[in-house]
Amino acid sequence: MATAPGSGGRGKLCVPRRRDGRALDKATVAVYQYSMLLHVNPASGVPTYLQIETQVKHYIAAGALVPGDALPSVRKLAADLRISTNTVARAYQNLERDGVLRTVQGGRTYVAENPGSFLKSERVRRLRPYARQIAVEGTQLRLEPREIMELVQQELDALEGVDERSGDLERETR
Amino acid sequence: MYFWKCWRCTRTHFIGSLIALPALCVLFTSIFVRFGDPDAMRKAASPSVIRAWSATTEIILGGWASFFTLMWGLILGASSLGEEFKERTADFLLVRPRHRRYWVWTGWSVGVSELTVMVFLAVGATFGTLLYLTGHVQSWWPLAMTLPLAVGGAVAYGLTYFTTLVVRSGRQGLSYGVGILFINILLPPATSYYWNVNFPSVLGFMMATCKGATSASEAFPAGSLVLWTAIALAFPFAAQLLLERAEA
Amino acid sequence: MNDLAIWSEKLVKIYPGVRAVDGLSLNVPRGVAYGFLGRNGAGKTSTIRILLGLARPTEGRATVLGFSVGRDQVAILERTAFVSESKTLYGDLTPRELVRFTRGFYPNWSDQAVTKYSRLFEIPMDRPFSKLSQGNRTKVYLLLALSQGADLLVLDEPGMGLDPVVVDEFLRVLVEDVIGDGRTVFISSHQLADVEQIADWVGLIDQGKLLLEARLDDIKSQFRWVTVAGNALPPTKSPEVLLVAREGDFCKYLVKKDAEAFAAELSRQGATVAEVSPLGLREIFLALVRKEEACTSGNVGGVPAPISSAL
Repeated sequence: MATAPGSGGRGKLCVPRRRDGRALDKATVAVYQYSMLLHVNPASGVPTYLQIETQVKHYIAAGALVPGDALPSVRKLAADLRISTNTVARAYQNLERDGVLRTVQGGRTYVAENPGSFLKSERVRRLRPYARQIAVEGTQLRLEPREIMELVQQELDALEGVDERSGDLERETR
Repeated sequence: MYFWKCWRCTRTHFIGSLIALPALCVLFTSIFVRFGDPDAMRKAASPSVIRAWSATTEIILGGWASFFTLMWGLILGASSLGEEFKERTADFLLVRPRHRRYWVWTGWSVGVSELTVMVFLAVGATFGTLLYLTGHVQSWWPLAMTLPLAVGGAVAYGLTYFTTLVVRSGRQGLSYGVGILFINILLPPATSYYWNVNFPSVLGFMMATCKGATSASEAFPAGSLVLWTAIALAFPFAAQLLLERAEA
Repeated sequence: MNDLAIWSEKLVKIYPGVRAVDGLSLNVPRGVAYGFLGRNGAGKTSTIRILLGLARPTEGRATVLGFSVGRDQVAILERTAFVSESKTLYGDLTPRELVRFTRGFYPNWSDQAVTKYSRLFEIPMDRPFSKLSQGNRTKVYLLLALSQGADLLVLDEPGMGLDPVVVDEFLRVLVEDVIGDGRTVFISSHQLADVEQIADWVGLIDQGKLLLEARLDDIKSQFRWVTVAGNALPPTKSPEVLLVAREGDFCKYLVKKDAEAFAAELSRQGATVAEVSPLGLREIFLALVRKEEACTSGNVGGVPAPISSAL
């Protein structure tokens, strides 16, 4: 099993081998993995670019994507997902603006070294709209503040679980 | 490219006619000449040879070949641009980056070229047969008959080319074309008989030219030739004007 | 001069007895996939025919790739590939001969593209066109369009007769080789799922009029159904409400933005907001085209004024 780029060999899926039995080069491995990790549902009410952004952030948060990992090119990802390159480009641009991704001169996109390395006040400012949305929705759904907070805590716990699970996955696939 | 396509789509009929008409010309000429005196045919400047040449030119070329050319021209014109509308390929064609006049004139050129080649071979075959049977060339004029025959054929071709484009159907276009042509052929005898008016007819033009050519006493009817050439060109021009203004 | 792929201003086309196109003002940016949607007879094909010079508009103007429709039509046709709804071609020519016929017209023609796509779509290149199945005929049309090197592809029902595998391959080709190259795709199709998948923009036409022209992302992120319980509702005159529908004991407002604020406002006025839900493309299409009835006296239902999101 080829080792993946980035540290520690995390977030791995079974990568196909070449017909002649030799291993694929690292760049191809990366592209395979992350193309397969990302998926979209065009029929959902969530805009496609947002789905991609959310997934990338999720995988970074869960440790499946680590700083330095290469993401598939815009054209490749768009072709694999059968969605417009403009959509993928928009997602990548937004993520880059948010400091999550970084594009180098040659055009490849990588996970940024310190995703979200802003001043704390800036980070809080970015999270506030989501917090507001939870507050509004929760109230509208007639949930108690206590219940809303519990829900958030559960989600945070689940994220940590993924981190552990991906470690298990790594051990199994060795 | 369109030239190639039109050729490709008419090539079977073209090659068929290319074989058929000259062959028939050869056949009819042979039969016709044979009924004369065979020994007299061989002597130069004998009246029967002159008769053979002029009569052959007048009847085979002026009559029979002319008629065949007109008919063939009519039919050829019916499988042209107008028919594309019926087969719904006109959309595909008109979306190619060319002015609409390109389609009209290119398509028309293919037909006229094919017609001219066919006529020339038929005339050449007749000429060759006469040469073979009588032993010498009485007159080179029969070869020049290519021109009036081709012009006449082009008139018939242009006629159905235009009518087919107007009604957008080969079959209907052909019916209209045949109708108009027959009126043109039958009207002049009637008008000249009843009212003494000499109305020009395309068949009459072709026959007269072929007849006049070998009698050497009549001048070559250049005036008629110009008139009918102009008419032959008027049809594609009218087709161009029509297509440029029409919706697809 | 503009740099839109397709632009029209109050385009009108009247056939005897019917206004097929009725004041259509399209704005299709370059380098995007634009889904042109509408019912049968809504005016999609008439619009496309006008843009391609097959029909002449009764009123109004249009440009394609910056060139004036009608006046610079040949320049437009040099740069535009068209797959028509009726996929008819010369019956006795084979696909190979059709390629030979077509390639002479286009300086940007790509023979590699022909080889690549004929193999990818598995087109029988040496069988006469009249003997091809519907699916294969469509594929030939697609082949010719893709090999042309055009800046704009206008596709009218490009998936006709194609099985899902081929459609999937075709969508991939569109994304990778066409949009990925910065060229524009204008698709008119009833296959809403396919359009929803690759479209950046959608334009919805009904009875010759443009009901909606917006980025698909904006539609997804901003359009919402606000479902409210009850019949006796306070009148709401909000410009963001596109239409109102009744569903049993509920009233649904189709809101084009700030749905949360609208729901909060209704809540404040005493209504019970049951749900604020997103819409898929199909739902938007059906809702706008079906012309739902009014729910309150304050809000008139029916066909709203055309909405377009800021470019």
